[in-house]
Amino acid sequence: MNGPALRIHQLTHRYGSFVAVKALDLEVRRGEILGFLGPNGAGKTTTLRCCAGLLAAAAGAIEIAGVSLAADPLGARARLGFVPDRPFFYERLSAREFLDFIAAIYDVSPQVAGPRADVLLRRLELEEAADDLIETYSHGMRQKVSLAAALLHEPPLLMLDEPLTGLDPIGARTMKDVLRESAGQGHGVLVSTHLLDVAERLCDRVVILHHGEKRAEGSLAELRGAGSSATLEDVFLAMTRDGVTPA
Amino acid sequence: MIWRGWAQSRWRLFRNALLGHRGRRGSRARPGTLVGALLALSLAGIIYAGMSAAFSALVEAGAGPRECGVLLGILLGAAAVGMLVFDLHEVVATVVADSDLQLLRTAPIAPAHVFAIKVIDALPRTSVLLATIAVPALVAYARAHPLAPWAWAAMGPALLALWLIPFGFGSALTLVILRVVPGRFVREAMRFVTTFFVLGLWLVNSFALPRVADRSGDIVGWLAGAAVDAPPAYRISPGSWVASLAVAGALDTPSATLAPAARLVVTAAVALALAALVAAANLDIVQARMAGVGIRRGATARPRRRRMTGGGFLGAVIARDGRMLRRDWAVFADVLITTGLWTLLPIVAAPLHEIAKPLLLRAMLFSLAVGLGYEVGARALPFERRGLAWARLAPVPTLQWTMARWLSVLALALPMAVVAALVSGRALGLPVAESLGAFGQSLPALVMAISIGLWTGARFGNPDWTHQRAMLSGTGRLFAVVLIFAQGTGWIMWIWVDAPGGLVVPALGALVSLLALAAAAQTLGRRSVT
Repeated sequence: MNGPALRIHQLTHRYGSFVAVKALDLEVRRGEILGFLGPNGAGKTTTLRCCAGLLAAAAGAIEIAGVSLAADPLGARARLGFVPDRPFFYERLSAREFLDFIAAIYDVSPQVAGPRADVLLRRLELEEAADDLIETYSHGMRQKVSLAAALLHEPPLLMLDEPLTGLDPIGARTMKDVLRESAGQGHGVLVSTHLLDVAERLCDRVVILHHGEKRAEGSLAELRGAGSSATLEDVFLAMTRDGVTPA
Repeated sequence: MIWRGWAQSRWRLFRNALLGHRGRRGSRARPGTLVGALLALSLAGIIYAGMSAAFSALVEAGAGPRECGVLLGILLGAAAVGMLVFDLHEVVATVVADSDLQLLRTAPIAPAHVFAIKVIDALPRTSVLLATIAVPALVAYARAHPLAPWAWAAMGPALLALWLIPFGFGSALTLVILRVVPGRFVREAMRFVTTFFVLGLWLVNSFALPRVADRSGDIVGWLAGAAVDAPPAYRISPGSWVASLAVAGALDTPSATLAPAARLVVTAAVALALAALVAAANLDIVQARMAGVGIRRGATARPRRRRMTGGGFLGAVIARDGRMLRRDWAVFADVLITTGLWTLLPIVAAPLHEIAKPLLLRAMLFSLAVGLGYEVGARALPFERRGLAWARLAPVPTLQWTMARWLSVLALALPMAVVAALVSGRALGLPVAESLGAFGQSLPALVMAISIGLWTGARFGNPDWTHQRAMLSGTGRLFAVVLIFAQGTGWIMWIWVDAPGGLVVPALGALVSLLALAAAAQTLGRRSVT
């Protein structure tokens, strides 16, 4: 249990002849929030979907909390909580019923899952709407339910694909607080985002991806370089300009 | 300029769907589209071969162009009604909820042009029955009674009118319904229209078909009589008007085309104008209502209470399916209604006096079993919509997931089959033991149909379905029809010859079920999730 929450080694994924992710190496440590940055089409979502087992990698290895996704896919999936950009819901269930179902498929006993779901719903300010059908929810409420579902089985790795896009300031703040708390409990958190200011304030380290290749990795201070006052946006723009050598 | 751009974009969409698009992300051909086209061509070939044989037999029996024309008219009428039943929702969805509708409506394009664009867009999506029944039947007729060249020129517009008439009137009626039903039921109402038409067609058919069968002793005589003095329902059907054009073409009497052509043109124009008028007056409101259906504040699942039942994974799946089905009344009602219709199919399709009641009951239950394979089995997985992705995400083997869905479907289908057996048996005056025996005999067919249905849903299910009768892709629906036909024919033939082979046939059914479930699990495990 001392290894990283996520280890990706030489991951490659292709769509036909187009290589979306090229020999990517990446590690999410326990207790850290890793920002996964890159322009549109950089390969962020593809990487996350490969890690979630939704896409089959053409090459490379993925380990979730020390469990190989290829050798033990069920064991690896059990250690992962995934919040996709478009949540996977049963629209005609209420949030509480949905969480009941998620608890059952992750083999969390009702005695444990019930109180845990209540805590999550309260923490994510969904308690009042918890018995309304999900189809009536706003975008922000859906994102929160999706996060609650990902956290319900307390996975060592949490992966989120653009979780803050479209959230109002209050919702975004709640979401960031919950992610911080999750990392504080020793879980690894991988957040794909376009919002550089959010990444700057939320993430312990960032990885910048461009054309499926890793262009940079490190804390903001490391990326800036000693003595520089560059913002993450400056670094991001510099790294994603075509012609920059991959890290 | 608008039309040129529209034509260019549609051509590109068609090409990309059929051949794939060589973009930065490589070729993404959709083999399903090609398979669907091949399947439609095959069905058209089968209809052509069957109708050619029928027309040849009629000609040999002394039938002329007029007598054969009646049969052609019945088929064309059936195609028109079939379009209304199976594709009206597609036309309405295209007109009120297509993905590019907002784009078109915010562009500087006149509303009438937007409506015309969407009507033309609907044509290729809804012309399968035209291509697989109407055209092959017409060509088969022309083979038996060659048409004059001018008649061929008239057939294109005539078939277009045959398409426009049901869809024009049907769209106008549906738009009015969508305007007046309470807002929270708009989406379900649009979906329920098709079920309503299926039920209506079936009731009409139940009365009409036995009467035709009663006169089947002298089919040429009956056709000759109908050619001179046809029933009113036939005379006012657009199918009979198109058939009259074909008859005139076969007899090379252009003057005889005037009356049917005028009827077709006027009726099609009225249908189109009515649809356009109703759309002009209601489209904005209906679209707004459609867009608002996701916001149903207060649509509470139930008062809060602890729902952790402790039934494990299987219990959770069954509970989830029960809740979702109960809350989607359009789907639930459709399942219940079609259950009744599948059970009644043998009564409608066979003359009552020629079948012993126990055999009729068995035929009814086998028909229901095969029907449930599609109605419940094939729709089970796409009914989960985007939630289906959990089959890939959850730490549950896909075979276990598939088996849980199979059991959940059986939990719904079995009581329906038992009720159908008891009610039908009682209606036929058979003892309960006989009814239950018939149910037991149909059980392998039910199990197999549901297993095959689950595979069909896993392979061809469309999680973004807008209508409960179109949860499978177009190709999937064609495939399902072939599978239903094959299973239905096989099982009915088996019971017709007194179910020979003892337990061998049920054992084979069980084996096919296992293979289908394994294939469904494999397909589910590989299904792309977007």
